[in-house]
Amino acid sequence: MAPQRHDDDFDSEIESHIQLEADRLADERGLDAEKALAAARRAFGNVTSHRERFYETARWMWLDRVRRDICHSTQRLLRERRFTATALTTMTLCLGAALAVFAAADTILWRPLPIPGADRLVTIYNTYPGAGVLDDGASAANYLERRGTLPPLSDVSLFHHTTAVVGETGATEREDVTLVTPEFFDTLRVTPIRGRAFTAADAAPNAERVVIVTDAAWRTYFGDAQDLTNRYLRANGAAVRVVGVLPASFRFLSSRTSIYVPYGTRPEQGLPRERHSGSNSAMIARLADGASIETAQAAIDAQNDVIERDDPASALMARVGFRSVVVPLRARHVADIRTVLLLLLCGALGLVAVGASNIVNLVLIRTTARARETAVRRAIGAGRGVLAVSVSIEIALLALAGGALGTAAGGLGIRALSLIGIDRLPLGAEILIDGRVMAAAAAGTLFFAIVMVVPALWLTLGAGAVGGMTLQSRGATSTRGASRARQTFVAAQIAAAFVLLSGSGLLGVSLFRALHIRPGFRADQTVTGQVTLPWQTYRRLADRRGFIDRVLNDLARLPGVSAVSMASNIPLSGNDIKSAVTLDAAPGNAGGELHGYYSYWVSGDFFGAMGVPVLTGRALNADDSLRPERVAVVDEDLAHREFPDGRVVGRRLFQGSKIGSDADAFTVVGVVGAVKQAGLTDRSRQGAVYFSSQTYSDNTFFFVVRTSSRTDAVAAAMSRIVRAADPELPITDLRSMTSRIDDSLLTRRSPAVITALFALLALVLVGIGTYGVVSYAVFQRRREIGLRLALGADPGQIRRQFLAIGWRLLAGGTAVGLIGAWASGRLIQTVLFDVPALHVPTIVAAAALIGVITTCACLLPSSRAARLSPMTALLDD
Amino acid sequence: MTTQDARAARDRIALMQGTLELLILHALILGKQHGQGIARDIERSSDGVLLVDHGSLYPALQRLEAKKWIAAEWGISENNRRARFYALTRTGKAELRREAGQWQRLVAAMGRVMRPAGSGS
Repeated sequence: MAPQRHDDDFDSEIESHIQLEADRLADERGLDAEKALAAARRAFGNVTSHRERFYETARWMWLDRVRRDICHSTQRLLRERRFTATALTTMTLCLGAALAVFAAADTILWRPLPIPGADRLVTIYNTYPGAGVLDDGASAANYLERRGTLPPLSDVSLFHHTTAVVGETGATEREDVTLVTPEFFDTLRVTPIRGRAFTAADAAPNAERVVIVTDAAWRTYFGDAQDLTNRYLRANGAAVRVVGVLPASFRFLSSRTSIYVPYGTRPEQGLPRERHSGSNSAMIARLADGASIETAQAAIDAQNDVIERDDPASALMARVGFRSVVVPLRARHVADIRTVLLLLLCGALGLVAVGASNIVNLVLIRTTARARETAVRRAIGAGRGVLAVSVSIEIALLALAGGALGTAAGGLGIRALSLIGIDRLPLGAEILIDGRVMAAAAAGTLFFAIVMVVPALWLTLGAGAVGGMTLQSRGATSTRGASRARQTFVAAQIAAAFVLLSGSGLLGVSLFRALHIRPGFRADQTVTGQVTLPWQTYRRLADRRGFIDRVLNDLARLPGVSAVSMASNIPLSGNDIKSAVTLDAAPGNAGGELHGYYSYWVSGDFFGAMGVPVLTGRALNADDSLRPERVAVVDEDLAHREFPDGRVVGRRLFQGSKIGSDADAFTVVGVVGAVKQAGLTDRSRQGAVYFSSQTYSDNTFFFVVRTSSRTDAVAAAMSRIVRAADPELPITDLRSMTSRIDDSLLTRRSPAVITALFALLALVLVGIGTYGVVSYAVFQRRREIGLRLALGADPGQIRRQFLAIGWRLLAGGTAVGLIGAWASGRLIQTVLFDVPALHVPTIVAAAALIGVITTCACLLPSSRAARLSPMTALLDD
Repeated sequence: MTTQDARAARDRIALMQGTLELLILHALILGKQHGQGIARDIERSSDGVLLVDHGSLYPALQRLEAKKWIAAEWGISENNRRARFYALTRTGKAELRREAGQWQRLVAAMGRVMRPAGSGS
């Protein structure tokens, strides 16, 4: 290939040639300058054709043609505003919605965690299905047993989420803190960017108190400081030294922990009787190279078998089906929302299908409308390749524009997702547009490009194009194929929109039913907040009781307060802790059996504060905590299960896994109504026990206040009272029970809202699609209509005829849609609450809604057909 | 057209296909020359018999330039006009020798075949 010469260079050379020749002619024949120039030009020949030949050989012609096609296509797309706007809007909305949902699903379910080798991490938890306790975490004893002893597990660590009060007196905050065994960061293969990780010495009983903080926490406390010498924090009243800072990108699953503390294990925690103590800790482990979940599970099972032989409670453990289960860490972490996310992804894909149908129809209509232009181009010699390239370039431009806009819309959609609280879902905090989402965007753009290009090429290059010149004058048979294709697509759209509508309706009904579940307590006008007393300053039980009593007294004196209480836990708090409770054996009873029940330790008027009704006997009251007698109240579920003969009051029960002495026994004094413990949509009746709080030795508890005043005012007062009792202590998680209920329905509300949005978009697209198809049918047959009207046909009949087109599509689409709705209802059963797969009111409503939209979309063009003026219709060609 | 031109036009023979490139290369043997000069040289050397279409000179020059048998650069002509001068490259010279030899052999062979009847052995 010769180096590219500029056109001007060549022109100069030709000019100079002609000039030189003119000089020669002037010399040889004595012509004057003008005549010589004219003669020279004549002799040279056609300059233009030479220039063209030069032009052609001096560059790549095809590149030129492509550049010209791009210019023309852009101009044409800008000119046909309605088509371009509709196509771009459809692509933007559908691609944007799909990308937002995909980004969420990808981040939560599939994207590799920022921990190296995260897919080799597992979690191991104890389960006691026979006692109703499905996930009891792991104990320190488990950790001591498994550390370094099982070949399939190369690293084993224990961790425990808790909180601590951090900061100077009067300015303390409750921070999330995680206790971790020293090799925890090794297990995760994470190294602090400054300082060091924990060593075994840090976890020894009298070692210096050290902590490792996250990068964000470091910046909060120490700003831009770089060195670690003598950096201290005040946690729970004591000074702790910071020895390490974690990388900025590190996050342990979804935890908001900012401070990591060494988890010290004492040898006595390894004793057999502590094996099943649970201790609210969880265990993670890393699979060794070459090991699999199955080999790890087998090793754990084998070890359990050996150890349980020496366990005094082994018979009991066997009866309740004790097992230690090994599962992948990430899968378990996101298990609850996996189905919902996949459901939303399917909904988004359904929306994309509806949008794609619309776009195909648009392209078919437009290509048919340009049949004459195509025919002319072919007649003057454009080859099929040239036409194909031309069509493809136009579609490519449209697809690229749609893809870019769709990606931008996806970014906005992701921002909107966080508005509905998706950042509170597991791993939901870091949803953004990364490389994988961009790849999905590229795939989506390619999909739309193919969807547009195939029908366009089929129509342009197909047999029908040859007769294109005559197409405009009558409805030729060649377009009937296109017409049928278009109508099929609209029917498919209607079916897809129907499925989306019914799915969204099912979710909505589910949400509605969940919202109206009776929680078993009165949620309005109840304010709750949590306090944790640091061990260091509240070592003695008396100190803790003193604090609690003082706060309860102060709370009771607030105006408008009708009941106050302290409780170890409250329903819907996110801590669904069950404890082992053993019922005293009695004749005719299934006593002596171990079972896990939700256990509460309460003082004050808990049932009054929460609004739980008392069914038999009496409730616990403020005096019960002061008396030496141990009393308890059970709920009706426990009463039905354990005391089927109905005699409950006076029975005895014991904390723990065996029947103890009389001094340990609690006497049941009443039965109260059951409440929803873990979530509103709890189906199982688990049963709960409420103990009087003399024996409560833990340092974390809730205050519950029932008031007739405004809850935010009471919340502020509660905070003040707790600070007055101890300036070091904040009261956290301070909110009303109503807000807790709302939060617990988050995973039900967001999908309902999102699918409703998809369904709405799908309806709009269906309307546009139906309008387009009927409109074009009217346009195509306008001469026939004009003729009929001129001959005296009834306009109403014409209108009905075209309405019938729309209704035919509606019928076909709804029939297929019904099947799809039933199938999708079956698929999402696990996510629905109290709603059958084929919920008749939802189906009827969906059908009605689509019917209305379709009819309205048909009405406009049908009326236009009926009002067509025969003169214009017949003359128009 | 003058009578001189008309007579000149009658007497000229059109160039055969493919021979123009050889003639251009030969014309550049004595040194570099511009396009118009090359055309004039060919016409003069053939005593006006060979007809060179000035315009079609340029595609031939482009081809030769593409094959790198000649190289070009802008310069000033005898009467102070700016012109693009072409010169033979080393490959061009070798190519010229090769094609000239081939031409001689072709001409000799044609001559032998076209001998007038009755002469020769």
